[in-house]
Amino acid sequence: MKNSKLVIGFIFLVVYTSCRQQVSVKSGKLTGINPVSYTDVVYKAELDTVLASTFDGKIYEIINGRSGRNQIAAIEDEVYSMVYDFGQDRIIVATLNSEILVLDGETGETLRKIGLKEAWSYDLYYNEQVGILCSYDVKGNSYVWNVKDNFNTLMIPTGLKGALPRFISEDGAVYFDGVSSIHVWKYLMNEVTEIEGVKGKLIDVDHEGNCLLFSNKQFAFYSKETDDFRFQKRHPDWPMYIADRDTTIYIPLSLHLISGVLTEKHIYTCGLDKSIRKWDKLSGELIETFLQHPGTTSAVALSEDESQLVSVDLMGEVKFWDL
Amino acid sequence: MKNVLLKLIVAANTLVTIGLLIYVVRSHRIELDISDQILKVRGLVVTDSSGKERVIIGSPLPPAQSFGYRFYRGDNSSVSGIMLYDHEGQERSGYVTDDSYGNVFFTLDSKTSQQALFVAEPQGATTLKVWGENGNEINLGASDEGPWLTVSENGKRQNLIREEDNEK
Repeated sequence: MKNSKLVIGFIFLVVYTSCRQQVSVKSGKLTGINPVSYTDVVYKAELDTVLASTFDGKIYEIINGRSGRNQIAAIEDEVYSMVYDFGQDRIIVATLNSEILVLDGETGETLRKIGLKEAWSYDLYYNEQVGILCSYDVKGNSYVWNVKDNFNTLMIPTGLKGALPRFISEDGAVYFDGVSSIHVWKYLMNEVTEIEGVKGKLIDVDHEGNCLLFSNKQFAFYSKETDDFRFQKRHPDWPMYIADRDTTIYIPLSLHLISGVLTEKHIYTCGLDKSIRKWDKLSGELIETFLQHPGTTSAVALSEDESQLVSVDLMGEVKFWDL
Repeated sequence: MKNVLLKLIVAANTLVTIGLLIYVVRSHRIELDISDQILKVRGLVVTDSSGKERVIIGSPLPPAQSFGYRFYRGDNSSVSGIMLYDHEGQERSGYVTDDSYGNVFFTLDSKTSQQALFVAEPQGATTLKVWGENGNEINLGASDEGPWLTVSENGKRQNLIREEDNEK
C-alpha cells in the first residue's frame, strides 16, 4: 500500500512537471548588419566557381548556372575580405574579432590565425605566384606576410609608414597607397619607387603597371607608359528601375563608385547606382552599362583569363558576366 | 462490485487523460499581453521580412558599418540610442548620446558619408551642420560666446554674422 502511494505520487510529480509550461525568450544580438549582403567574392576555379562571403560570417561556394549555394564555412564573426590560395586550397579571410583566419577550402575548418597589432582589417590582397599576402588595419598599420615562409611578417620600409598596401604585382611589387602618391615596393630588392600627383584610392593595377583610382564619384586611369592620367570619368547617370511602369529612367546624376577592375582592353566600374559600366581603356569611352543587380554592388572579381567577371551585391545577389 | 469499481477507475482515468490532452494542446498557444507592462531591455531590433535590421535601439549600439565592413570611429567612441538602416542594411541615421564627452547627436547620412549633424554639447553649445561635396557646407550654432552662421561654397567660407571673419 505504501509502495503504491509512492508510485502514484511519483507519477503525479512527473505528469505535473512535464505539463508545466516553460516560456523562454530567444535571445538576439545587436549587430547592425544585413545578414544577406555579400561582402566579398573570389574565384575558386578558373571559371564559373566562386567563393562569396556574407557579413554574418558565412562563406559559400557558388557555381554559375546552378541554383543554390554550398556553405563552406560559418564563422562566429563578421567576414569582410577574402582571398583564395589555389595551390593549398585555403581561404584567407579578414574578420572583425578573429583577426586574419586561414581556412580549409573544402571543410571551412580554421587552420591558423594571423595576428594583427591593434584592430581589425577589412582588405586583403594576395598574389599566389609570389606568395605575398598583405593587408592593413583600421588604425593604419600595414602588414605584408610571406605565405611561402610560414606567413612570416616582412619588415616594411619606414618611408612607407602611413601608406596602405592595396595590390601585389606578378613580379612581387607591393603597391602602397599614400596621401597623394603611390609607392611601389619591390621587396626582394628593397627598392621603392613613387608615382606622384595621385588623387584617389588605388583600386587595381593591370599587367602593364597602369593604375585605376577612385575618388568618390570619379575614377582615373593612370598610364605607366606616359606617366600621366589619361582620363577621369564618372558614371554619367543614375539608372533607376521603376517597378510600377517596368521601366528604367536615367537620372542625370553621378553616384559614388565602389569597386572596379582593369582588364587588357577595358575598365569595369561599379557604383552606388547599382550599375556596372564597361569603358574603353585607351579612350575612356563608355561602351556598355549592365543593370541586373537589385542592390549596390559590394565586390567584383575577374577570372584568371579575363573572360568572366563576377559581382556580388548587398541584397544577396551574385551575377556572372561573360566578357 | 469489483467490475463496477474497475469501470469507475477506467472512466476517471479517461477523463483525466482527455483533460490533460486538452491542457497540453491548448498550452501550445500562449498569448502574452504585456501592454500594461514596462519592458527593461539592453536592446531592441526591428527587422524587415528578409531579416535585415532596420531599426536598432540599444546601449551601446554596434560600431558603424559601410559596404561590407565596419569602420573605425576612434577609441572610446561608444554611443547609445537609436540607429536607422536602409533596405540594403546601410546605416543612414542615428539619434544617440556618446559615452565619453556627453554630447547628444542627431545625424542624417548618405550611403557613403554623414550629411547632416545636429549636436548639443554638455556645456550648452549647440551646432547644426549640413554638408554637400566639394567643400559646400552650412554651419549654424550658438554657445555662451555667441551665435555663428557660416556658409562655405566650394571651400570658400563666409561668416554671415561677423563680416570681419570672412575670407577675402
